Amino acid sequence: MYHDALCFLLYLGRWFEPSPPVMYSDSDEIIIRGIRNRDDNAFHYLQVKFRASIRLMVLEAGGTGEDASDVFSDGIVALIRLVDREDFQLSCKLGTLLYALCNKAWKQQLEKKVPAGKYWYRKEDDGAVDDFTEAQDEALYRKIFWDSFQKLGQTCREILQAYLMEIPPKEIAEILGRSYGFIRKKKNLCHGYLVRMIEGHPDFRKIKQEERTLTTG
Amino acid sequence: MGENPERSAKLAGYIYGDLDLHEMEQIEHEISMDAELADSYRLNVKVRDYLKAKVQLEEMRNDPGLEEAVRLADYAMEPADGSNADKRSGSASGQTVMRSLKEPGPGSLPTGRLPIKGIGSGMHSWRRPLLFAAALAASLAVVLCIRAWMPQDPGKLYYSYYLPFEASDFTRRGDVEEKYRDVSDAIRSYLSGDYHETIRSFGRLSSEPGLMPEVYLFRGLSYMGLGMLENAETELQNCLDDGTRYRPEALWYLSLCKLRLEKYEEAGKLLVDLEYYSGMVGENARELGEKIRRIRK
Repeated sequence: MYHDALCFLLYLGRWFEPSPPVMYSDSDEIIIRGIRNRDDNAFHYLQVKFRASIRLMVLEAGGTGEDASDVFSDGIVALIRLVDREDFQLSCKLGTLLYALCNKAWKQQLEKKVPAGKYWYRKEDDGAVDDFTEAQDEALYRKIFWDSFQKLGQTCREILQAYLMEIPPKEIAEILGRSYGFIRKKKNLCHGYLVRMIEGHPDFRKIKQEERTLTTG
Repeated sequence: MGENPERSAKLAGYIYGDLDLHEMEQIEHEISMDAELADSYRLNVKVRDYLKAKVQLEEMRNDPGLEEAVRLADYAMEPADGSNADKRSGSASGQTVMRSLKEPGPGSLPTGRLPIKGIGSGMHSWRRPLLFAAALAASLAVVLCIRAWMPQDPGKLYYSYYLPFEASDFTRRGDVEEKYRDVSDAIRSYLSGDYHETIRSFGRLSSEPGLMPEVYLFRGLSYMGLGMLENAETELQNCLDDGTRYRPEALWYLSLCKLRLEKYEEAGKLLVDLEYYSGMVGENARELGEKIRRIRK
C-alpha cells in the first residue's frame, strides 16, 4: 500500500528526484515466491494485475487481441524460467520486469512474422476486414480517451491517476493535502467531465453515428 | 446522461467502488431500468478500464528500473547454450503455460544458466560421479537433519496449504433454484478470481439474513485471495460465530489466516477443532497443527 503511495509520489515527480530508494516491494517478493512454488494465486495475481496493460502494449504496437494473449503467455513462461534460475534476484519492479519480458516476446513474434506489412495483408486476405475495421475503431477510441485525459486539469489527472493505481482515497487525500470528502467528490466531477469531453469529441460522435447507421440499416 | 451531473457523479462513484450499499443498489436499479444510463455506464467502464491499463503501462515505460528489467529479460530469453532445440518454435499456447505451471520438473527448468566455474571443472571424469554422489548424500543428510530440528517458515507453510476454495456444488444449486441465483453469480465471481467483485456482490446480499453464512464465508475467502488477512479474519470469525453453516471451511481458512498473521496459538486451537472431522480435512488439520506446534517450540 505504502509502496503504491511512494510510486505515486515518484510518478508525480513532486517531492522526490527520480531515483527511488525502493526498487521493488515486499508484495513482489511474495509473488516471486509464489511463482517458484507454482502457486495458482501468484499466476492469478499476474493475470489480474498486468494482463490489461500488456494487452494494451501489444494493441498500441499494431497487434491483435490474439497476439496479446500469446505475448502475455510467452512473458509468463519467460518469467517462470527466469525465476527458477538459482542465480535470479529481483532487482526491479515485478510489473516492469513482466513488461520487459512481454515486450521482448512481442518483438520476437514480430520477427517471425516479418515483414509486418505482409502480416496485415495476409490478415485482410483471410477475410478479416470486419475485425480490422473494429481494431481501427478501438485504436481511435483509445486515442480519444487518452487525448481527453491529457486535456484534464492537473489536479483532476492526479486524482484519477491515483484512483486508477488503486491507492486508497484516504492516502490520496493525505498525499495531496486535501480532505477525504474533497478527493471523492472531485474524482466524481473529474471523471464525469472526462466522459463528457469524450462524448463531445468529433471523432467519437462520428463513430457513434456510423454505429447507429449500421444498426438501423 | 451528460445533462444530469448528479447522476453522472453517482455513476463515477459506482465504477470506482466509492458508494455505500444503498447508493449502489439505487444506481444498479437505475441502470437496469434506463437504456441510456446503461449505455453511459458501459462507456464509463470502458474509459476507466482503458485508463487503468494505460496509466500502468506508462508507469512501466517510465520506470527508472526499466533498463535493469530489460537486462533481465534479455538474459531470460537468450537462446539455450549450444542449440536451439529447447527454444520454443512459436508462441506458447495456454496449454504450454499450464503444462509449465503444473509440471515443475526438469523440463521446466531454465536451459541456460549463468556460467559458474565449478570446483571440479578440471577434474578427471571418473571422479566426478563419485564426488557428486557423496556430496548429494551429505547434502541430503544435512537437509534432513535441519528439517527435523528447524521450525517451518510460517509464510511458506501458509502458501503450501492455502488454495482457493472450490465451490462447484453452489454453482449447480444456483442454476436450479431462483433464490440462489445471485449467490451463484457472486460465487462465480469468486471462482473466476474477481475478488473485488465478489466482495461487492456479497455486500449487496448482506441484507438477506438467511444468506449471512455465505456472505461471511465468501467475503472472507475473497479478502484472503487479495491478501487482506485482517479483514478475512473478521469475516471468517463472523461465519464461525454465526454457527449455521460452513464450520469446517471457516475453521480451516481462519486457521490459515491466523497462521499467516503469526497467531500460532489461536491457529492451533482452531485446527484441534478440525481434527475431529474425517477424511482429508481432519488429516490436513492434524498435519498442519503438528507443523505449527513445531514453529511454536
